[in-house]
Amino acid sequence: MKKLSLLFGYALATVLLAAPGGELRFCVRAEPRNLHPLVAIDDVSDTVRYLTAGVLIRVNRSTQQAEPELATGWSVSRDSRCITFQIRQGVKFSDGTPFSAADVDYTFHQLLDLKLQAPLADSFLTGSGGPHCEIRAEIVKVTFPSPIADFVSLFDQLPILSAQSKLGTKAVLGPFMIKDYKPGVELLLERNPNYWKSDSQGRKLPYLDSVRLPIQQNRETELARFRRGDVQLIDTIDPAIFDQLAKEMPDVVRDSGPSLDSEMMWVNQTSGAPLPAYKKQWFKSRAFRMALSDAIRRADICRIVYRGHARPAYGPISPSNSFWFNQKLKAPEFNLAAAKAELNGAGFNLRDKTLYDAAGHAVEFSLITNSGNETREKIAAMLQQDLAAIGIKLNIVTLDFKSLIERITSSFNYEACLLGLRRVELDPNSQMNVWLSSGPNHQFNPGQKSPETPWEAEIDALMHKQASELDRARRKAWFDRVQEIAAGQQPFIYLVNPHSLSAVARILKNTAPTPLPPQLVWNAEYLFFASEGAQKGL
Amino acid sequence: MSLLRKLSVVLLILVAAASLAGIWIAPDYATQNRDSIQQPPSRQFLLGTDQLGRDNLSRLLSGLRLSLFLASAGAALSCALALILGALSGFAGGFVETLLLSCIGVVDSVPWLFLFLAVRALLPLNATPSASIWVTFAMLAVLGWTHAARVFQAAAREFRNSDAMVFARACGIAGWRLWLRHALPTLRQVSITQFTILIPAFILAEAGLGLLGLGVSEPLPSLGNLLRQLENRELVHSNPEVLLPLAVLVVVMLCFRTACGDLELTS
Repeated sequence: MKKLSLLFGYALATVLLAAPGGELRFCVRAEPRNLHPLVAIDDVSDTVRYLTAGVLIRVNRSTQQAEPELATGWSVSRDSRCITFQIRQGVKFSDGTPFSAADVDYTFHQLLDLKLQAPLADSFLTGSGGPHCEIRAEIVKVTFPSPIADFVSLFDQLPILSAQSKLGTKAVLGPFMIKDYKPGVELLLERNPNYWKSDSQGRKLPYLDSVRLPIQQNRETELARFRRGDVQLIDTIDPAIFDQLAKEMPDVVRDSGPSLDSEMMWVNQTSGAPLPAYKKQWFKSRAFRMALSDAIRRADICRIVYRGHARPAYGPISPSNSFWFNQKLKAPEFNLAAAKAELNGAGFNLRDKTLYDAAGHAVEFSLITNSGNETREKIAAMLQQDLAAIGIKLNIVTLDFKSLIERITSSFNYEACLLGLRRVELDPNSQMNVWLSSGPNHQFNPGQKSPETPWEAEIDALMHKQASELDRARRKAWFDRVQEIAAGQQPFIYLVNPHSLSAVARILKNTAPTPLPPQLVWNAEYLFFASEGAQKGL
Repeated sequence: MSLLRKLSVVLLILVAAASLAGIWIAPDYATQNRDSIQQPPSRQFLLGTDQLGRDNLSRLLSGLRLSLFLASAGAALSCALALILGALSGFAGGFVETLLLSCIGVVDSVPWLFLFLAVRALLPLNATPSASIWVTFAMLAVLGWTHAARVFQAAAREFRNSDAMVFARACGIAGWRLWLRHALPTLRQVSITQFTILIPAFILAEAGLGLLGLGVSEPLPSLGNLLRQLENRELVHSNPEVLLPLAVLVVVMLCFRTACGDLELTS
């Protein structure tokens, strides 16, 4: 009760202190590739889409729960194929055109138009085709050809377009609208005067007048601009810079805990890989992979490479993904004795600090990673020393990214790989192409015609089952089992989940950084400056 | 021998001796002392430790040994190639000059970055770090001679058109004797200059190639990858000893130049 009253007090104070107006500025690191909301594919376009487009359902980035937006409610049929939305009334697009159920239908037509080639359309295609819309007054019924489990994250990304507006995709339902775009320089978004949301005091949202996004690739320059007060937010900060900022301005830095991203390594188990047979035998050995995992000091990687701003990774789901993370998984621990025992049990033996397999081959393999990435180069160097402790000689090879991708996806001419995985979605459905044995991103042994191992067959079955089930509890139970198998087989040896690090100017209020994109501006409509016109300075 | 030259020679001998002595006095450049990362100089680690807790002194001495030896070898090979082709072109003139200049132009136009990437892709993945660095410097030598060759060509052409040449011919000196005993020695100063320019250029090129995956691979140190630490401004502020490899490189190059230059003036 006390906590609740404190929260209420905070919310009230926030609302009372809100000084409408002002311009929020934060840097984006690349040019947006396409500003059409249905074709947005890169991070910058995604951020712009998030800030400008209205959606039927929104996943609250803080609670990770689905919340009504342009749909006031929804229901799902028993067979998980139909979703019925109640459409919010009295909403207008930024140009004053009224929003109606017809706009949802129009959006689906646009999305599935082959001429547009919207990347998002693939996610909506299930079974034999795309969804079908039926409109009845303020009700929209969307029917999919096959059951669809993860509809929330799909609709969270689907921007609703206007069927009637003369402005086309420029008419938006989000808190901001694009006012100006100067290629190579900046994007300017201005307040949507017709945005439908109000705060608890009845004041129209968003509080901010505009959002300016300078295009700035150089992180040093971005940092200098932040220090000068030219920009008010920085996300995904390097741990060293984060610590430096923390010394200078401890109240502006935010460590939001483990992100959804992970760093991982894997050994090449591809049957057709051009590797010696004895090496393939090592890599296919569960004991060998377990020994590698046990011999790695993940805590050292977190402490040294990430300066404590990372945590050892358990598996494919980060602990920050609160619902889908399997809490029963055992925390990965360095255990040299267990590693040696696993290797002994599999016929390996350690002589004169060198590990030999049963046939007498010294265990030595190469680890490829992308060049120019200082973090990965450091991790690789640490792995080299860790594996030397069990007699394995690891040769580090840094390759340009294209060569690396060619090796892991096409020629399979590599032995082990160290890469990172960037995740933007919570639902395990987004990992289908990673876990299905036939999947192209099943990197350790991709594109199998049929599962080569019983545990991969079990994962295939579990992933298919969870993808066609709507009951989240059952889906979670099945995906928990996938995580257990992954932990027991170590096809991917997950190393760390880096923390989500950001910096927020003191004058900007109501920020609540989360590991989910867009980490700092997911609640942009509620952001405000401490005092009007005080945007300059920190 | 001037005092400056003596000092330069002594310093060069000291650096060479220290880098060789590193084999015995500080051989462990790879062990990560993970509880002692980025330590300032101490009795245990005379130059402190790097970001992974490795001994900076061992890495500096090993890097010096490796980079100076290989960069010098690469620069010598490159200089020799440049001298042969540049001098031949400049002294011969006419069709030979045009042909050789065209060849230099062709080599110059090779997209060497892509060539390096192709070579890296062709190298076996389990090639040792030492093999990798040998290949790197060999390629730098094979590709890095064109600028020097143009300088040699210009100097040789100048001599060909000089009064000294006319005088030598008037004195009846001709053929190989003219070129080997009178013309070629005029290029000695240019050779020394080009050689000393190429050594740091190759060391820095190796550092740059590290970004493409063709530099020295872990855990082997080189001056190039030690210099890469300078990209981290915060590290330079907190651990100024990381500037030492740069200081050593500058001092070595200056000493080298002074010693060789003085040698030329006094010969």
